[in-house]
Amino acid sequence: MPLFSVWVFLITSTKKEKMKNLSKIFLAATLVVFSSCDPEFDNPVADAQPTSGIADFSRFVALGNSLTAGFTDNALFISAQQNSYPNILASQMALAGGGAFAQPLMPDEIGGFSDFGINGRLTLQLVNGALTPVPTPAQSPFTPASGGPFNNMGVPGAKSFHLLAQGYGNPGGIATGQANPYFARFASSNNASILGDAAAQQPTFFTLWIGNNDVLSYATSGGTGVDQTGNQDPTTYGSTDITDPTLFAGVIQNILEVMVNQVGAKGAIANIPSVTDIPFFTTVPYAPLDPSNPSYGPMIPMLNQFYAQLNQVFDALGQPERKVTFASDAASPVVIKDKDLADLSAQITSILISSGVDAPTATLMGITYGQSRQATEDDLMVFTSQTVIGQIDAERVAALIAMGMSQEQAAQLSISGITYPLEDQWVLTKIETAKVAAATAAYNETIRQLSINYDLAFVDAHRAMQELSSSVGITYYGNNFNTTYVSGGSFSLDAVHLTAKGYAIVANYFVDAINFKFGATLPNVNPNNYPGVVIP
Amino acid sequence: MRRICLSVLLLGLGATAFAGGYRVALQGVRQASMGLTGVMHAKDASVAFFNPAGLAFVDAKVSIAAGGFGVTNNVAWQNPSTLESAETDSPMGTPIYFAASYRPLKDVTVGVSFTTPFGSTLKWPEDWAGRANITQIELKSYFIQPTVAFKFNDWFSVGAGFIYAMGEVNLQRVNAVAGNEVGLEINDTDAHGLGFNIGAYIKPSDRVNIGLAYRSKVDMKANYGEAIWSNVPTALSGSMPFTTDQFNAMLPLVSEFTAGLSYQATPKLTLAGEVSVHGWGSYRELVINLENTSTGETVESKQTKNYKDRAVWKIGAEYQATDLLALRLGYYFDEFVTPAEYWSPETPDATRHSVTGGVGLNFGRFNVDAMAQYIYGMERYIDNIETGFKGDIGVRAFIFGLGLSYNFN
Repeated sequence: MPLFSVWVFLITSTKKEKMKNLSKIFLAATLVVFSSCDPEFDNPVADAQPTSGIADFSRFVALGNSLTAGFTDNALFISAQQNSYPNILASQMALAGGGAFAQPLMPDEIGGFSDFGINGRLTLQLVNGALTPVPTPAQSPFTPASGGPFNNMGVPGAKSFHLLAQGYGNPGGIATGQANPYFARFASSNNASILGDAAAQQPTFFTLWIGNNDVLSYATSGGTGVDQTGNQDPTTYGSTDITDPTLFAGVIQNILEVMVNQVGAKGAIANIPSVTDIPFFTTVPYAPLDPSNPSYGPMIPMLNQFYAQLNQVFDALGQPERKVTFASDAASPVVIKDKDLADLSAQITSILISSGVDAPTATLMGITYGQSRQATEDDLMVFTSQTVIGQIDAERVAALIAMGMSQEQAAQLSISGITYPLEDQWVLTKIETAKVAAATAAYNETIRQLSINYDLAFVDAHRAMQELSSSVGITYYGNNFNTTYVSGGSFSLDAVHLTAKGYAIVANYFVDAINFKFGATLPNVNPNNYPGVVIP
Repeated sequence: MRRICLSVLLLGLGATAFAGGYRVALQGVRQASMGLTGVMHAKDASVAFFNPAGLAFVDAKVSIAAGGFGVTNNVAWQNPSTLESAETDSPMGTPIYFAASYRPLKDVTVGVSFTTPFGSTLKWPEDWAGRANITQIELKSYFIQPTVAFKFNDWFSVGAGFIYAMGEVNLQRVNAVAGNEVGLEINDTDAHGLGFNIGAYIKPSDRVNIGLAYRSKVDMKANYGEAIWSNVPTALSGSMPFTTDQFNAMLPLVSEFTAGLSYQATPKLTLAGEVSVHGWGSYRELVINLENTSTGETVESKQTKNYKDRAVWKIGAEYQATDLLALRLGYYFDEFVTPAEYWSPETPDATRHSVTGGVGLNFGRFNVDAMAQYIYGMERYIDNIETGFKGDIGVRAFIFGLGLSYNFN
């Protein structure tokens, strides 16, 4: 306190008679106070008391799919669940009257089910000098979760209509695909439904984020399923089909009718992001064939020579857009099979025969390139296609050898994406993407409308994901988040699910929507403080 | 633990200031105790920094002045939306000065001053929310200023000084790379810059002293500084930017135009007032260029600064209580120079009020000065649109200083 000493000295030394006036002036002019050297704020955060507004967070139940469960790196495991957005949200609600939040924790930090052949989490490892996501084998078999009921009722793999499905958690139905092992871990009975078990908890508050899988399973399968728009019977659906938007609307309305009007809970509902914004569809470029690649570049003249004959056929058939050429000075698109193209197999075969090609070869060419074309920027290569592009397809080689071809020739005609068109499962074509987009838009319109009808907080996850995938991304305290695989920070190694950092961003969107709708003052979280993909 | 210190609030005088940005306005203990007024105080050789022309009016053939300060700067941040908070735990800064002058001819005075007029020493917690911006910074500058003053007559002189500036910078930060936290330290002990200082000194009467001075901007260039990465994932150790090992950057030590006047109200009481205009507007952006010296690859990190030119308003008083003892008081007001949308925690800026006080002991040729100063930064809300750093900022600083001077003919 040097200043104090100075002033004591000043005051004592002014006590001399002739300095009395001066002393008075100084004393009058000076108020000596003790104050802290530490800055103090008008409203210190240490004294902040978050409030719930007109909402009541005392019993909070989260409904949804893998995103709600906390699924990350292609698995569900303990720490992933602890960093699920509902758990983050519940920890903020706990500051404003929220109660305990129980989760059906998995038995270990690996996830998967050893007895169902479902792998545990992916980890990033250096494999042959390249960073590669590597699955960890599951260590634990299917184990029911004890201590229910659980507040986090997110069920990985669930589609909208599964929330109403009785028996979806029957352990006996897991092996046959009739039931979901994640729900079976905590279903109250063999005949229980997710919605029934949620309602039975009489929550005061709920979140609902469902519908992603109603389009996503179709999209990640490269559009191998069926767009079921117009068919409202989900028992006839395959696992990779697009759910009919009318069915979806009925399901959501049913859920909200129960949660809001029967149970009396307030809640928040999130809509569905566009698949074109997630790295599963944006990581592998449609034109990945780089001439500087030593195992591809030297092949280019030979490849163009090979396709020249076929290109003449396409010209003759008036289908120039089917022609295939590989540039030597720029990356070229892969060759894909597009099942929405007219099948020209027979025409190709007959033209080739008439120009002197032997019948077996002409037939093979017809079959192989009957629905082929080069990809365009409107086609989305699925994330897993990177494991096959440019690789020799062993099944195809075996089939060609069985037809009497030499090993070498068979291999040359079996290079995926180059001489052998990529199968439907590796690419979501423009037409397939449009189907996904149409269904997503319909679901989102339903969600928006019902959020108004049922007086819910509305979380625009669709817009949030657009923002995240934009060129600027979202920046928290100097760290930028975007949807670039691994380096973007927000998406986990499976390229579909989020990292804990990503789920923290989602939690912030829920917080903001809840605060806005119900006048609550829940605090946000700092995504930088949550884990992400660890690079070795 | 709360550190308690004494603050002095002047009734009826309103508020005062210290200098914004990373200016450390401590180049003379007597000047600092009188609210940083300096351009018109020609008491000893330390005036060379404030106003080169003032050397001509120092009443001594030879003058030597030296002093040092202890600066405790506390910065606190809190984010009302996340309820996070952090506070610096900075080591004490120790600005020093030395000045000497000599009058070989009646009208000519030469001198040299050594000062540390710009700097910032801050240490934030290693795990704090703003770690991607900064965890710690040590910014130092040393000005060496040979000076000459020419006295035209009894009431007017001019002076000029050449500034050779040296600097040191050490800045550390921790960035997220996916789920990893990677440290970057940039360090340079050999930054350089050049500038000049000119002034005029007018003494229209025995009771009035007027000073005008302009000190140029000094572009402090750090070339070939070292860049040191830590906790880099093995898989990335061979890729940019983690292979960079050198950095270049330039920091402007901004210009200052100062005008001030002192008035001897009574034989014992001197009043002083001064305004200085600081050219912070030239600090538009901070560009740190990182280079891999073996491949020549570079990567640039750029932060917008867009600082604003600002004036600092200062007043001071000295009461010569006895032949031995002088009592001093002062105040200054220093408005923030960093816009809220580009505020950054490496140079935590706020509008400041400061009160100063001190004593001087006169032993004939030999003078001892002591001072203390309290700086109160006004709470402000900042929201950096580039980095997403936001929240409330509070600044307090406490300074004490001790100076000696020796004049003889």
